[in-house]
Amino acid sequence: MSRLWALVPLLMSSGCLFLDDLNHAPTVTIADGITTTNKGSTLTIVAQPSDPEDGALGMKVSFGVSAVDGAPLADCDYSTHQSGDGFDVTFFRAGTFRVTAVAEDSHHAKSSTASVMVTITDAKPAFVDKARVVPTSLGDACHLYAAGDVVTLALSGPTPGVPAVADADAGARATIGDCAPSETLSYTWRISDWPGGAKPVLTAFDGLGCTAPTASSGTTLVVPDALTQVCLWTDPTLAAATAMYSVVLDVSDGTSTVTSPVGDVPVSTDEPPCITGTNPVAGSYVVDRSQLQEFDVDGVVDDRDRFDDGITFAWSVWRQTDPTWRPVPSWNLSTYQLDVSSFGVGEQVRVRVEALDRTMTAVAPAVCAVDADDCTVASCASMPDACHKWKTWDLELR
Amino acid sequence: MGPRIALTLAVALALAGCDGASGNNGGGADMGIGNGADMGIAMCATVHAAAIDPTTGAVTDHVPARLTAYAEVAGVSGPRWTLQRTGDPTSVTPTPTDSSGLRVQYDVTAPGTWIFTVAFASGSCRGSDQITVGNPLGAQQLYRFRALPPETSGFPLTDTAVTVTGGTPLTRDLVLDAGTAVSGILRAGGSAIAGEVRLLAATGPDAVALAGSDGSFKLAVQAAVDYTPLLIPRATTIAPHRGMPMQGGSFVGASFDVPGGVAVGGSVVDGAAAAIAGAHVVLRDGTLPSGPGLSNASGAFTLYAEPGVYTLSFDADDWPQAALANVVVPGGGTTVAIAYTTARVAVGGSVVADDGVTPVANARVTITSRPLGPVATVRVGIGAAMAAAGRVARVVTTDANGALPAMQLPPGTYDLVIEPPRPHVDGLTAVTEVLAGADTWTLRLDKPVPLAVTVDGPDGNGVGNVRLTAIETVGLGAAPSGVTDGSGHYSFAIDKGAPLALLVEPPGDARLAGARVSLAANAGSATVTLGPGLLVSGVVRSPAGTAQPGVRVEALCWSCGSTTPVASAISDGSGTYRIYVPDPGDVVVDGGAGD
Repeated sequence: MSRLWALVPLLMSSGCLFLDDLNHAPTVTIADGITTTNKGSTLTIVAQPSDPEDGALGMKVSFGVSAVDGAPLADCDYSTHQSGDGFDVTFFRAGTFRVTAVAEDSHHAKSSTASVMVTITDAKPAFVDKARVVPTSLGDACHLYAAGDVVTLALSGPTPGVPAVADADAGARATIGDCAPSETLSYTWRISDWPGGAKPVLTAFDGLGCTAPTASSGTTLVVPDALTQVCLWTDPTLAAATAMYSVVLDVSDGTSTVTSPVGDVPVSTDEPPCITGTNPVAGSYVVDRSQLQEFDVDGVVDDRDRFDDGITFAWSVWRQTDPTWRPVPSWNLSTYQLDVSSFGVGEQVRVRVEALDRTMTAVAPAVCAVDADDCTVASCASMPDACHKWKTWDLELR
Repeated sequence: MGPRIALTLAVALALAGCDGASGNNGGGADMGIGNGADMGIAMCATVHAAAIDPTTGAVTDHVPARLTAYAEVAGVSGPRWTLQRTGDPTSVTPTPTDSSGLRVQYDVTAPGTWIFTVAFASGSCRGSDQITVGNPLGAQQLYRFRALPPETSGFPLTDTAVTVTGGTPLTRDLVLDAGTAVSGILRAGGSAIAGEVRLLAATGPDAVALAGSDGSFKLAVQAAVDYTPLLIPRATTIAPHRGMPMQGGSFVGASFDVPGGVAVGGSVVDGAAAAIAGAHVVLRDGTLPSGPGLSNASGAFTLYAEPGVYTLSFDADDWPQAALANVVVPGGGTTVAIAYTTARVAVGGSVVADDGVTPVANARVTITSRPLGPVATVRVGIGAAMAAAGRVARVVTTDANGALPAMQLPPGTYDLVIEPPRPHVDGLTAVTEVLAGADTWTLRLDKPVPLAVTVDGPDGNGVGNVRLTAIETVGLGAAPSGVTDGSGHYSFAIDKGAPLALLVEPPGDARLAGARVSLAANAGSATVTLGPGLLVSGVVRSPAGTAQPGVRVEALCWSCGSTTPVASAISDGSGTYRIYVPDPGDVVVDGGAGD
């Protein structure tokens, strides 16, 4: 106020004399508050105008927004809403901005400008806790997949049906005009690791099955959303007994890309099929020479093929009068009939059946002795039970 | 009675629990095929189906019929009904008969099992019921559907009687019999022994178990079925034993003791009274065998048998096998003196490829003579010597040079089956040789020959995608298979000397019956016309009602007297089986015209 007295000589010398009190301009400050946030999040700027003469009545505060990061500030880059001394501002691009406030009293006297600098950052996409890439195809009893299998994969999260990845500012946009969202997420499945020499590809899963690979199929596949599954076509060739494929989901908002935890797909060589039941139970029997002898396999388990689809059988016969195992040609059925009426009285006859899967791989001679009635091999297909690759019936003809 | 009154009556009957659906077709037991429960959709409505005569309004069990249904449900809206006949891929929409849409009807003329299903706009729940209407003119055939559950399931084989009516697809669940568990210890002279326990069923499958050295065994029988126990010790010095028939349930807690039998001693000599070592001698009375007899270097043998009347069979290397019926083994045992009397000549030779020159090593030759007449005399006890007829049945293998071993064979006519080692360009070959004196055979193999098969449907058009299996019935057998093309054609390469049983299995969507056709060797071609098939389908269930996947189901035509399955299937992952059996058609009424 002491500075006003200094103006008296000047006013008097101009020929005018104000007898009324002088109007003093208001002042304004901006309250302390949050000045950093993500795109799409609303900041509230609170102005604190002051004019002891006029009081709060008749005071008006005007806010302004400007970019100070050198980039232009378009209308779609922000939106505002003022309510009294409060000013809500939402930015839709990252950058540094100044928000200014000017108070004006009822005599149109304006305050000096108060301002605050705000920093707007881009929120990265983020996977939710426990998000993971998981195979949705069933593996075998050892939780392995056979080399060559097509394995479907999904991004799994704690809540079924809810995407396990999110971006806080994805989709945010100004509501004026036809402003486009400031960013959209893109989803790319990627085979991040695979066995040496293998040539895996990814294809789309259409909800019912896997799209067949084409020449353009590769180790990445863009999908429309985080819930879309993908098909991993593993390579049928396998150099070692087991190997691992690794698959991730990359999610990008155009600025930042985040990668999901790795989903592993262990593969192994095709497991041998295992006979789980025969009729009659494989063993030693005295049989009537005048009766047709029938032998059935009534159950087989395998990692990839089914008893009624893909499993075949190799039958062979050993006779006391021809003591060598003779394959029964072309007999791949699960049932075998043998007419023993022309066989010798009291003759010993052995009938053997071996289960074969799509690989048509018979037991190697080193694995089971040729005279073994029951050939057990290692196979995940039957775990924890033993895998009976072949079974034998020993018959005595009386 | 008007249709409305009839409908009301039918509904009232259904409500009273005596509706046509459950009363006429056993629909309650058949429920579960394709219903909501199987499809993972909640069931919220109870559907009651019935069949009435469209003319009289009376409840009926055959076509033509007006099928009616209503849904007993509350709090739903927008009912949507479908009606589907088992085996038909399409469905129809029955007509609502009231404003709520919860009551519908549909007139049908096709017999079969019809399934009403209702779903609702408000809520993902549904309901269904089924009803079977028969063909009043349909011929009927009795089948036994044999379910062979996997050994690991612990369930015994189960036979289910199924009556198939001409023109009437059928839904029938097969409930496995839990069986009555029978366990015991196989004993002889008070001690546990190893052996075989067979309970021979009067009807249906036998129950068989093997007892280990501790004699313990367990098996499952059907309590109400008669079984005859047959106990066959592993030890050759204890005679097999056949007990008296009893109901299955009676074997629970029974003893399984083998009396041991009596000794039958004897000898085997040639025409010069020289001992024949290694001769096999056995006795058999139907299902009951004796213990085995094997002659020693002196030609002497001892076997053990229960007292009874048997057929004696014997065989020795380089000698024919022979049999003699009505051999009495008394309680004190007996003796059997066997003397071969047949003359023999030297036979050798070789097996060559189809070029007539290249020797074939390791070829297997099955030599079977036509009946030779008396080949030996047999003296039982102190009785007179009796002639025993016989034949040669033996197998030899060529050496590295393709040569047959030196053999001694009685003169006669011989059927030879020559099987080359596999793989080989030549196939199994059948040859007949007449042996009058010493001889050297050159047995030439033949290449496989084509067999062109055409499969037609009832309309005379070729049927594609039919699986053909040509089962060769000589030697060890073979079963090449293939699938017909769109015109119903397939061509095999078949061993020239092999008669065949051709198994014809049409795909399920063809709705045709399979067939099994016998073909002579070298038939060249065959045309098989398949008749219409009737779908019999259902779910294989455990006694507790759980669906059982992986169960083989065989359809045995009981009224045909056939023990060979006419069709078979394996239940899928949901326990469902689907079998097409031949449609018996309609009853043919012979009015005598033309007689």
